[in-house]
Amino acid sequence: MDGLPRTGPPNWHASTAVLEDYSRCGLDVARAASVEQHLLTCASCRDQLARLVAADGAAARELDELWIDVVDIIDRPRVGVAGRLIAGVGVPDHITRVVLATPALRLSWIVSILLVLAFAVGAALRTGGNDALLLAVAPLIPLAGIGSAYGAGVDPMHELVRAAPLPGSRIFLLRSIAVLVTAVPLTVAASLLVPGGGPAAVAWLLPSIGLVGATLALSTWCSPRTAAATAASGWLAGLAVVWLRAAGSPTSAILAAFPFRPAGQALFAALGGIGALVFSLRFARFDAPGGRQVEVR
Amino acid sequence: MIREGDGEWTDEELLAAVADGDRLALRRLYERHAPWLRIRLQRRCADPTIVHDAIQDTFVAVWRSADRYQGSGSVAAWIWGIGVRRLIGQFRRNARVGTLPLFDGTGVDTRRPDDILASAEELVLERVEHGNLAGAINGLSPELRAVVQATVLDGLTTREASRLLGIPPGTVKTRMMRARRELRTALT
Amino acid sequence: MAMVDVDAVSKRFGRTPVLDAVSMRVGPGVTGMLGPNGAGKTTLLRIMATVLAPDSGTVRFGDRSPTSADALHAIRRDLGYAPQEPGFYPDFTVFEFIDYVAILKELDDRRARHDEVRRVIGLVGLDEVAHRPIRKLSGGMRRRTAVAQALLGSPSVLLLDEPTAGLDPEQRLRFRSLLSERGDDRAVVLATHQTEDVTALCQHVVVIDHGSVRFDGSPPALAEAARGRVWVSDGPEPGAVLTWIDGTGRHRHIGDPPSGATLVDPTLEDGYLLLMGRDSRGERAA
Repeated sequence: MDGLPRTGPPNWHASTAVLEDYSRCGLDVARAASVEQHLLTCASCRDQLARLVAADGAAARELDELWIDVVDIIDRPRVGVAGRLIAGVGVPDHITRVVLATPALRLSWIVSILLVLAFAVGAALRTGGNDALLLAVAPLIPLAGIGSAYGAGVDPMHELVRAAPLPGSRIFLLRSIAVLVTAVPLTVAASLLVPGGGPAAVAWLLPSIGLVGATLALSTWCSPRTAAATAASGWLAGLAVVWLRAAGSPTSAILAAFPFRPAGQALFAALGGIGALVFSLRFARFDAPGGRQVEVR
Repeated sequence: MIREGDGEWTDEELLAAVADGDRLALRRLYERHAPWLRIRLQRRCADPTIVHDAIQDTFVAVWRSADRYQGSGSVAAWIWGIGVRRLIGQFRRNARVGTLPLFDGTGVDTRRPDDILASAEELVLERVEHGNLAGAINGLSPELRAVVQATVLDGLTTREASRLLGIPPGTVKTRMMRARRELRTALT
Repeated sequence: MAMVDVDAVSKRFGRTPVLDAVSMRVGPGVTGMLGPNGAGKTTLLRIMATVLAPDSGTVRFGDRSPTSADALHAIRRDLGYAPQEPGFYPDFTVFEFIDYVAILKELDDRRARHDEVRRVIGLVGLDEVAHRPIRKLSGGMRRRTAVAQALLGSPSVLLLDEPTAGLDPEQRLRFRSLLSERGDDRAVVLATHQTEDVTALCQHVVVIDHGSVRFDGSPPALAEAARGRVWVSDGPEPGAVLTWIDGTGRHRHIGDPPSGATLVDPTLEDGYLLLMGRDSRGERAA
């Protein structure tokens, strides 16, 4: 076994001839095994073998390409569960990343939705199915997300977003859709937990769409945050008037309030459509320099 | 952080840097360990695509789990442990079937596989100083030799060896027994 | 479009005027926008980056004006902007951050985009920390990260706000060689309060103070403006606007030299200090 290493610390080394043979898939099993055991403990022989490989153009090239493949994989941004879900339904990678950067889509956002819903549903269950609170707060949930989807105060990278070619209006819309896709199903599910609710339990849905439309339209004049706050204030002010003027039980008055009657439902649906239309006509305002979305630092 | 011209870092230091997100350190580890790993895997799999993917998986795994290196055994041995298992993983993904002829083993071993492997390893390591082990191993039939290589020399479990070789675990065990018997005879 | 024309741009924040009818023309090469902190450099740069709209005046990019959505889109595609504080998602790694900006720059093909991200990370020498969260980086590394994202897509207009702040001397040198490799076909604007950067890098210098352009010309011309106004002596001098003790232990003065003073060749810093010093004495530059 001339030139072959034995056990123990590497106080002697495999000869170049043996390593060359080994690298060409030569050597019998026993000798090869011996080389392999030695290589695990001997940096010097590993380096010698690496030099032999480097001298072989084809192998060196292949290892270079392999490194690029390794780098390509480790460079892929972590996307997490939400990202895999979004990518799973066929959304392209770059859109997924824009959506995932939504401040509102953080785990804390989902947790706060669940807390609000749990509170509202809890109140409904305690009062034997009176879901006035749920109807009142449910439309506001998407507004909170949309209001923090885009803008100087809510997105730390907003300065770069402004200067980049990808239109801010598109980013805002994509993120708003993402907010709706998470918030609405959760809220519907929560509504159905209230016993005896039936279709009336989701009477908040059309008002919610109306308020979202209003927020979109307003955001072409002011920041999305201000727009959402304005729409939410309007909603709460209206309900407060109903509450204060109620002849009998205030919660029954809210359940019978205008937004939850057929005419009101139709009006809010129309508001949603008009809001979207206004946004589509004015979105260039959204992308222009110095749009109101930029706040002075 | 490692930089160009920063003298010689040990593998352990490089691995610690990798755990800290240092890509240049991963590059150094790759330069040191990819060449031998590639040859060693090539000797166990003739399909270059599978070997390529296994090496790629290995270094991605080194990148992601560098912090899990315990410090027992050399970094090279740790990388080999990952590498050979990634090769097996590739086999499974590619639904590769065994390339060696199935050996219809007889006889049932009642000991746990670990005992078999431990004793086999002892056997080999004891005798490795004595010179004629090489002849003994080379004298084994190809299918027995493959099992000895996978379990004793590559350090695989019975299940992993069965995947690598494309034969049932039971067959791995019986072949290992036969190999031990033959080696013992040849060495005494 | 390696040309930016700023014409009579004014901007106020609330009641505070920040820019007062600023006009300047930036062509190929490196332009230093020099001025003390708070001079209005950042605001002007943000207007040039299409982040802010001027209250009055116009900015043209080559033959394009940011008046229609299409023109604005085309301008932004060819623009790299490194704000002084770009804002980071702190849990993003350097790679993820720059990759995200590349998406904002509409580099949609993942493989090509990642190649480009690796390229700019290599340009600023951040390969080693590419996968470290930004919150773990030093200030100098964050600066380089900010510059790297601006280089994405090799834009023909590059706007850099205080890119050398927080860099150590070695990184500063590296940054200078990076910028000088950019070639003459790009317009680079470097907002800085450091005259060394201008001396080392710029072919054109615009001095801005209190929202107005105080000087517009070549760096040698800014130095020449102080010719006959810089002298050395062994003690304080009454005619000096500014005096400091130089490396040889002598007093170096800028201002109105007495007759027979030992005049010396002015540097760009002398010219700049003279310009600023006049202002502090209440004189206005012509």
